[in-house]
Amino acid sequence: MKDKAVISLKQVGLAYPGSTKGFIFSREKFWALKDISFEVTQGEVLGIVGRNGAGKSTLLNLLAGITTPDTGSISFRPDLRSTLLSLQAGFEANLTGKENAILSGMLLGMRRKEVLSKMKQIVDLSGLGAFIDKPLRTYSTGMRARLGFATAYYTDTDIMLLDEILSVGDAYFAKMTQERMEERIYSDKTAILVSHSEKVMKDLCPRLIWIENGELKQDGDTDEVWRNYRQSFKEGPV
Amino acid sequence: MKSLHYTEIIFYKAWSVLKSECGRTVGGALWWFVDPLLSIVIYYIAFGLILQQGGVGFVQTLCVGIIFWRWFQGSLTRGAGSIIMEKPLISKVYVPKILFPVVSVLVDTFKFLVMLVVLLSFLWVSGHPPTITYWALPVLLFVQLLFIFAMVGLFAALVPFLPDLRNMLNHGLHLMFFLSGVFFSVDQIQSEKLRQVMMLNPMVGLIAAYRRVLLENQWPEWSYMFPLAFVNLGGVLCVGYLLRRFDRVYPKIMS
Repeated sequence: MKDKAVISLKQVGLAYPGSTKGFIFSREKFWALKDISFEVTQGEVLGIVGRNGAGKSTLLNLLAGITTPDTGSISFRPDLRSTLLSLQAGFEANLTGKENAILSGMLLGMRRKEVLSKMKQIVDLSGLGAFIDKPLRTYSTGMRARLGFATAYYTDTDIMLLDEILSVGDAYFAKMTQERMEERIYSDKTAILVSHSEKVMKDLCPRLIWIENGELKQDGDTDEVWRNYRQSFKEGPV
Repeated sequence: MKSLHYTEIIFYKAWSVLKSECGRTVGGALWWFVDPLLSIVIYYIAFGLILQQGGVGFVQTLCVGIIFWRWFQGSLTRGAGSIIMEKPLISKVYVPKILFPVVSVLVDTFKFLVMLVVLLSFLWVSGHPPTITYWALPVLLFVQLLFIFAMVGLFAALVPFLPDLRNMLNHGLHLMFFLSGVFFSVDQIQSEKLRQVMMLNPMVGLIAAYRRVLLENQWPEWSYMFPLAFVNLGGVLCVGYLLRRFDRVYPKIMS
């Protein structure tokens, strides 16, 4: 099963409406992704690089099943779940930390019982202690971030999608979370990862995809793709 | 499996909305009672005392009108924004968008059911004990629930495309309130033709039917209620289709 594609994209294009204001009356469209084709295989860790606005997040949303393409097609292996590990998804200020972890965990695809069974680990990882039963509105930004990370971290999914979430909080917590996440990715998971960090990409991903202006510029070995990607900066803006 | 998971989310989210709401004010859940009570007092002062509208039994007529009207109005006011308000969430995870109007209606229905118990108790002690016609009540409630969901779903589905609809909705509800026979009875309207036109508004027919059942010990006009049920059911199905059709379009137009 090792080489079987878990996600495959065929000439995928995705357009956003041209302008929000009065857009239902306009036919204007902005193509955020154009003619993208690639496959992701089981157990693979794939990195996505590109400049700001290149279409990386749009691509992740597609891979998470949040949106669907306007042209071309995307197919998932039906027995697998792909989840964008979003931090603090669905958090509500008036609920306690524990209730927020449950709600957020359920929105990320876990059953309530599943989240409850992992609650002790979530509390431990977030380092919140007794604060877990206090309303979220009493939390500092850092505490919220830690709870968000811990909940996402313990979300069980087959294909992990990550948008630069490898580090949150202060230097100590950031280092710890990054190590934990790397460990998790190393273990066995299929993962797709957007990052601007050379170290993260080179450490974790054997394969890189480079997106520019919504088009797939290069797909291949990380060292080579990264070199070309960096080279493009010297050639000036695109 | 999936639908069980979503059902779990619906109830947890509805519960969390109720809890959040209680936490926002000092009065908390007390406001579920105080709010409708205050609006009854206000309309009683305006129409009963000053305009001398009512006559015998005006308070009961008014209470029935307001409690059932508020169910509709409250659901629609909250529900119209139920999808657009979840913008941050919708762009982060995939959730079937129909969940949001369902949660919203569930929250207001729960608050309404609490008030319904208060209303029925009040009617009982004020000389209108339960009668055999109470059996019609679940049917009427179901028809109104269908109507509410069709309307909430329609607005929730369209507001992300045209946020201006929400501003118009407030005025629409205001107008509808005056036309729905909340503080008067449609039977008071002289012109037969006008009355028939007004009955096209389901809230008019529903409020009149509730009054027949709860205050006059009469059965509702089934010849009106059954077609209404079917129209509303059709509405719910259309709205379900609409929400499904745009399910993965919303994250695009909201980003």
